[in-house]
Amino acid sequence: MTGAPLDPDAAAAAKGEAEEQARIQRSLGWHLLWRTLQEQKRALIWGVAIGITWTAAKVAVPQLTKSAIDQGIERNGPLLAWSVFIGVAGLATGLLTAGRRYLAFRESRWTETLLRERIFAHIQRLHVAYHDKSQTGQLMSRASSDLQQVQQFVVMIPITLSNLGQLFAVTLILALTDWRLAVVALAPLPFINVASRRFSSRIHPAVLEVQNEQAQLASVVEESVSGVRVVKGLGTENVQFEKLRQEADDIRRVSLRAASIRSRFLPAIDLLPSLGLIAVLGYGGHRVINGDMSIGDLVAFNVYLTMLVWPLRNIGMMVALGQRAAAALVRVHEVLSTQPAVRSPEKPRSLPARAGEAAGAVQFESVHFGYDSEREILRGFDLAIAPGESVALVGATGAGKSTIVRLLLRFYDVTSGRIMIDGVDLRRLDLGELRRNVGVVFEDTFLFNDSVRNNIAFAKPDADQSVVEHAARLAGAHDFITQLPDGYNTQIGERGYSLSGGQRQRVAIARAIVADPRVLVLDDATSAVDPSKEHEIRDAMRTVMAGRTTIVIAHRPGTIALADRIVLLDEGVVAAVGQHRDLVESSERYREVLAAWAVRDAVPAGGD
Amino acid sequence: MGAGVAPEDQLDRTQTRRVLGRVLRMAYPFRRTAYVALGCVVVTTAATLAAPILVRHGIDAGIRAGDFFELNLSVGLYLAITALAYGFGRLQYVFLNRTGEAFLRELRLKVFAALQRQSMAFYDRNKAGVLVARMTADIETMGELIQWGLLQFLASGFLVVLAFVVLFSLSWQLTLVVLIVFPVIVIASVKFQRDSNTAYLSVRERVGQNLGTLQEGIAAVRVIQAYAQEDHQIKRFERSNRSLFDSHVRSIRISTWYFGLVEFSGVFAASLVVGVGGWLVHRDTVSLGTVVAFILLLSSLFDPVQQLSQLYNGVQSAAAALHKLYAILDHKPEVDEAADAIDLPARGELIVQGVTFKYQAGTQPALQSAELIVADGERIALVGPTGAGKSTLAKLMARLYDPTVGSVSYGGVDLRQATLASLRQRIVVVPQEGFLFNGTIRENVRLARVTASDAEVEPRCRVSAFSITSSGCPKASTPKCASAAAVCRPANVSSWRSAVRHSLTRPCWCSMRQLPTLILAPRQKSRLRSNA
Repeated sequence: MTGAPLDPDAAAAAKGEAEEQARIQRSLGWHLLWRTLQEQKRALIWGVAIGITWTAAKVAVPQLTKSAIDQGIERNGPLLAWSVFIGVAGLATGLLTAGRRYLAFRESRWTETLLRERIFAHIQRLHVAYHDKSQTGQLMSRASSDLQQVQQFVVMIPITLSNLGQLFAVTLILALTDWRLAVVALAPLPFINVASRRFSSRIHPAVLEVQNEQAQLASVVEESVSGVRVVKGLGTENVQFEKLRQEADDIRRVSLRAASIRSRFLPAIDLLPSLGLIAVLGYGGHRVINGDMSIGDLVAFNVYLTMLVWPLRNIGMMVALGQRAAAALVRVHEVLSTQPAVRSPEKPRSLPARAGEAAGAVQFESVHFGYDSEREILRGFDLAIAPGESVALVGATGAGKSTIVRLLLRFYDVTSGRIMIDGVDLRRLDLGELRRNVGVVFEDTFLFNDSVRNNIAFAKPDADQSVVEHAARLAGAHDFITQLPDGYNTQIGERGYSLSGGQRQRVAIARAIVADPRVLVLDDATSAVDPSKEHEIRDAMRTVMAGRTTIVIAHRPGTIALADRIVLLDEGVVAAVGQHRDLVESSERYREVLAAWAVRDAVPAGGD
Repeated sequence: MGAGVAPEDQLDRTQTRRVLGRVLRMAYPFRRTAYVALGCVVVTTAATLAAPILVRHGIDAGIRAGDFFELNLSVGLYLAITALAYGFGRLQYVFLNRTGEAFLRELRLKVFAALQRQSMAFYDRNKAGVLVARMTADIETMGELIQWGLLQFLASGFLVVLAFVVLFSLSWQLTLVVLIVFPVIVIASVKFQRDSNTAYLSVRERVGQNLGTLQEGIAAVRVIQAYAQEDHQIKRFERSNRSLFDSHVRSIRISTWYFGLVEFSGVFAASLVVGVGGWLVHRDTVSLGTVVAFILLLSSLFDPVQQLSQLYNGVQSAAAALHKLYAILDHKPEVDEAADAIDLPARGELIVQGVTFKYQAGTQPALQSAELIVADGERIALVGPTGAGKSTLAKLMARLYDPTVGSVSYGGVDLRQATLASLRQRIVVVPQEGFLFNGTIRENVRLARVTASDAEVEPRCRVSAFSITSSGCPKASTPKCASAAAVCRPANVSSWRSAVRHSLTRPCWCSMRQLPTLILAPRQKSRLRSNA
């Protein structure tokens, strides 16, 4: 054997390093939780204090019962007093248990709530490159299921502490009463803890597998229902039924496996305390007969032992919960520790005041940029746009048109070169100020599940109704909005009224108008609209472009014609500049690009 | 407390009885395992209750009488009973789950078969998401009950009943004492069950809303940042998040008083038993062992009531889920096989005679008195503007719907008289949307004829002029359609998928079947023609 690929020592070192890394991550995760809990210190301390008082009351009950039996019943002592004492202790445990529960749950929910707000706020400020790389679902689970794991752990903190107290107190009392019997009676109990821990770690993967199989069945059902036309058209019901039967069999198989794990552990966990009770009856009984112990002690032993069952199980559970919470905290910490790559400068400059129509000059100076170091998208892009001028950017897919928009908004920073608005480098501007002065209508119009009014007034939530209406009129949206069931107050989106593509686009344009930006960017704003309806949007665009610096990304001649000047972008540089007619005559590439887009328009991508 | 039932889903008494009756009928094939499971539950519960009685015997006949033999006998019996409880405890899980999972499997298959039997009109009326939820969420609700709750529910029920029997036989006087406290727990539990259900539903609704806001905030982050509205959105999210917290706190309050009360009642009952029991011991009415047995048995009486109230919601939502599932099972398909259906002949004329069709009663007919004869082997093209009824006619010719008036026949047999199997064998509609199923491309192509061999599949795909390698997906030999997303870069996937959809599957399907009658939707014709 020659040429072993890896030196075993190096492999071990690499592994050790990875473990070290994971350990550091975990400690950072716990640190995050610790800092969060600091803010709730008072309530948590109260919770723990109440929990410990509860332990005292709880532990007192069997002692009182013992005394009642030994002194009240066996020796004809003051029975009523003892029984009142027990009742009072009961009242105390009742009140304290309620208090402990309330504080534990409220505080754990509060931790969850605070962390969720922190995650949300952080995500809102993270640079777009981060969002381009991460999936919405993943970020969602950081702020939902991961925090749930944390909550389930935090709620157990006061409960576990008082359980530990109870464990300690009971063991002490038992040992003081009769240490020999205590040893015999307590011997089986640690196994409860061991068994619950092992059970948690075994059942968890089994449950995950059940969920996995359920998901597979769901996807068969899903495709059979959404593809019902194909299934019926081709008459292939049997194929789908066969698939479903397999999945149903799989679910049954893995569910029964999980059941067999439960059957192995749960009855054992239930019955282990009985072994202690048997020991108490047998060995303790002998000691009572021999006169070494009272019957009251025997009963107290019995009650104490049953009292230990829950704490022991909980501590077993707590370990499993803690591990899951640790993993969740690592993931949460990962998000929170990501620094926004695009930030406002320490001492931002501001844009020169808007004097009349002279604002909104945009200048790109030999801009280079690539999303990764291997492939440059822009390779020395130069363009100067005068205030009030409108420019159409035309180019093939991937030419870098949308990239230019992203750079202008500082979603990304240029690799080299610079971009200036009214003579100020974007990187020297406050991000908020920059973005308030560049208004974009994106290709995919994202509208919020909110009223039409709030969607239009998005950039200025406090804007007057008159401002909103004025913007809607300019965007050609006022007429259809007044036709909606509740006018401007109509809720739109998932839970509300659904607008057509053209209507959505006009609302998005109105949204950009409300912002009243120096520079307006229309990024393929008409592409999602049916060509026969495009003219409606085009009218709206013409109105809003008047007198404002505008960059239009377009490929339909009608839309391109709205601009004063056309810039052909190819291979990351400006390939040609001019009027439509001139470019059609002079530029072969321009003709190719437009022809390619025209073909695409004619054959809309269908399918979904 | 994991489940909640919305008021509109709660069943009334007759509905509950009907659902229960049907469950029993459907579970009839598995009755053996069910009986064994029930037997195990009874034995285990009885063993649990036997323990305090043995303790009592040990105290009265052994310890207080100074009789070592009786004491040892009690200990021995206690050990034996614990072993018995463990054995039957394991068996009850095994058999109960076997029964439950067999039932669930049966239910899944039956509901799916019923769904597949339904006509197109049924799918037009019901949203896909709702139908999927029936087969998944609703059945899983029951699955959860079977896996976690059913055993406890049964055992708790048995335990309460048996515990009372035992208590009563030990001492009726002390049983009366216990009965002072017991109703308090029962009433509190019932109230708690109701309130916590309401609270749970409100929490669930808020959780949904909050997730919605969260999702919107993440999905729209580009728009938000482009308009510098981060702060406003953060405030908006905080509002929704705080309102979720408030509803959590409300639900916590409900459980707080309940659990406090439960804990108090348990100890309070013990104090009564000690007080009254001690007095009775002094009067020699009961033995000390009995008092101790009562104290030990109290938890067997109170704990199950708590558990029952917590499981009740689970049982209720399972019943509600079953009710919805039975509605699907009961739904008679509009397009169904006639009792005396016959196979269609192998070839023949397709005749549309005086067909009028409305998608919904009271609406404009989509087709009116349509007449058409398609001769055996003839190729015809249906041409017309949008809404002229081309697709409708196609669907009627394949009996995806039945005509409102008139008839469609093939080889002289009215389609309504034909067996569905032969109908699908002779007449096929290739719909406009090229829906892809999860699985390999080969499996997708083979969909139309499962028995086809690889050798048959490939040449037919070639006919469809689709070359996988040209799509730019690196591992193209038999990529899985569903996992393609993982293999190809996102940008390519959509084009890849639509390429597969449009140029591969449909023409492949067509040529997979040597069909006498084939109805094609518009878009693919140009491509097919060029390959013909």
